[in-house]
Amino acid sequence: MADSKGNSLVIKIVVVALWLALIIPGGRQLAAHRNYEEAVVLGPGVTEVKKLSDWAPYVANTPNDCSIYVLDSGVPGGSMLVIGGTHPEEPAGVLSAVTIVENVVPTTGKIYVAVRANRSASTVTRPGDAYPQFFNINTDFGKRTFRMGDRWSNPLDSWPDPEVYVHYPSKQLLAYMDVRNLNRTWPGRPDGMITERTTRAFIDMIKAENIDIFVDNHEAELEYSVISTIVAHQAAADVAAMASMMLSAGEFNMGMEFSPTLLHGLSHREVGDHTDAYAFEIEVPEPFLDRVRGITDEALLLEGKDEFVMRAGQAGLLYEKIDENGWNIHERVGRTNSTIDMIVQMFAMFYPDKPITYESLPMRNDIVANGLGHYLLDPAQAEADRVVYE
Amino acid sequence: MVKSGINVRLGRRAFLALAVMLIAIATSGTCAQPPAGMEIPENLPKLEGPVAITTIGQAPGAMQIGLLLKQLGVTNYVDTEENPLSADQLVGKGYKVLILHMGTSLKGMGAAGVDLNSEIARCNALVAEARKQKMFIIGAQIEGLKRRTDDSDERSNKAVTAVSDLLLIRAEIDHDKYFTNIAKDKKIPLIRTKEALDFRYALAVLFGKN
Amino acid sequence: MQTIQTIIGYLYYAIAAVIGIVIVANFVRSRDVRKMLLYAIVLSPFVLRVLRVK
Repeated sequence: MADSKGNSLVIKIVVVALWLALIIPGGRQLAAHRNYEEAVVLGPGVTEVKKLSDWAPYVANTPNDCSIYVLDSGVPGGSMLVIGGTHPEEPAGVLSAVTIVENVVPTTGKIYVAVRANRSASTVTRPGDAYPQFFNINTDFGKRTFRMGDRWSNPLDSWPDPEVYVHYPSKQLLAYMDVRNLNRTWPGRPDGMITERTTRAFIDMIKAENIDIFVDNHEAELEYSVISTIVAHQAAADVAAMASMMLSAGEFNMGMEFSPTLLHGLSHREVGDHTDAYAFEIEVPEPFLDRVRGITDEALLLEGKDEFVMRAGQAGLLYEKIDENGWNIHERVGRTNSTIDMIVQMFAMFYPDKPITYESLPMRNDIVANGLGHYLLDPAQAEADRVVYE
Repeated sequence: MVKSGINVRLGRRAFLALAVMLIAIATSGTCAQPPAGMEIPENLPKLEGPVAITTIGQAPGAMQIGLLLKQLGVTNYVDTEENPLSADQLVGKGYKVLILHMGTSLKGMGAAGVDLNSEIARCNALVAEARKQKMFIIGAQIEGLKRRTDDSDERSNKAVTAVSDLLLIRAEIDHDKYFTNIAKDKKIPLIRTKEALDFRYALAVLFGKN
Repeated sequence: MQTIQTIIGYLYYAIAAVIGIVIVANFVRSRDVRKMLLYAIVLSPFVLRVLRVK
């Protein structure tokens, strides 16, 4: 009997030791990802870095009190807000925002940028789906490391989810987890859950700063019909239609969609409905998000090559073309930037009294030719007060 | 910053190219030669505005055509998702041409609040009223392959091509000669363009703005 | 509303902790190695959540 007890104790100690051997390194990895400080270098055009809570105190001291980079030309004109990281599993949107912050010099009007609009969602990935925790961009000075994220805010910041998510204020019923989806919680509310508070903070900011153009950067799986397109609120439809035709004729295929009036919580719907801004969403292709994908790793995230997605394309199951060249991050970021630029230029054509002009925005052809990394600055070489950590 | 200089040069070059294109669009005149890849049939009708435009399936193509017509100086009305063009809206407005654009909203029928059966019924009612008023009906598709992806798009195509007096489409959606064959069967003109912006030339020819 | 959410959030952490304690108790009482391993695996998400790691 004593032997049996003794054996049991030994087995338990072994099991606990095994458990600790798994959970401690695993937990450390998860904690390291959650607490990783992602550097953003302030480019020559950045005149000020504010926090979202400067406009909305109810997000102060929350993970989503993100940095807002202000690029003020000092010359009166229009104003634009670009947000990346609505869905941090769509890195081209984040990197497009980073290239704006690190390169663009405004010459007329004012540009605001949020690199990590839903910072909380960038502190969690999907280990069950084999998502990498980080991704690295090769630059002229070495690698720059960014956090890979998820579609939804971190449950550590917003738990539990409701049984059914009732969207405010439309009362539309949405999937429960979408209460943590930054693109389902617009226009939000100041006393709501963290993601609802975040969108409301952006709404308050857009109103306070009289933003004219609002752009929400996204990527989409090739199995989804809303891809390679600009989704526009009806007030912004003229601008989007012209931008779509100009891009498709001169550079690359970029369609246009109306923001559905009956589907609530999306940025292009609610920003257009609740503010005076012209609301756009840009979607570029990201094969990493396709459910039929094969090996899920950093290479797929950045190179966008996958034989299974290709086969789905050959079977006519996709809404965007894909070949052995895939959809690399340079192409995706480049297309996002060129689309933003075309939106700005078409906006200037329709509304010449609110010009926004700038220099040094890396466009699609530049980024594809020189590589995305060429347009990222070296945090180690920047002065300490010109580096911000997200 | 060297790379900044490169970007500035590229940006300016792109801007100049864009400005030239915009000037070309903004002026009502068009090039003497059709854009590459466009086939203009002989004996086209001479049309005049005002024009009513709608999409059977609520895709945004109608608005794109409306913008190009506006730039050509052709009076037109494009409906909205909230207030789709109905037969009674054709009465008493003096419309001479009805453009029915083909294609369904990619946000999904449910999400966009579109029901294709009701859209086809609306199409038939519009055509009945247009015929009463002796309007010319153009079946158009400016958005290309993005609006030829599924059965909903095919139903929209079928409904519109069956009642059109002329087809104006992007060449890429005619890869299976679906539109060519319909035009031959119905003995109606077919204009195929490579790019969406090339619609401007075709519309200019049709509306005597070239 | 925010206060209610905060209270519910804390309650859920408390529930996770209680469930974790019950799993540990079962682990301690268990003599079957397969069950021990099972309890250890099941315990992991509760520990990670209570410690606010995952």
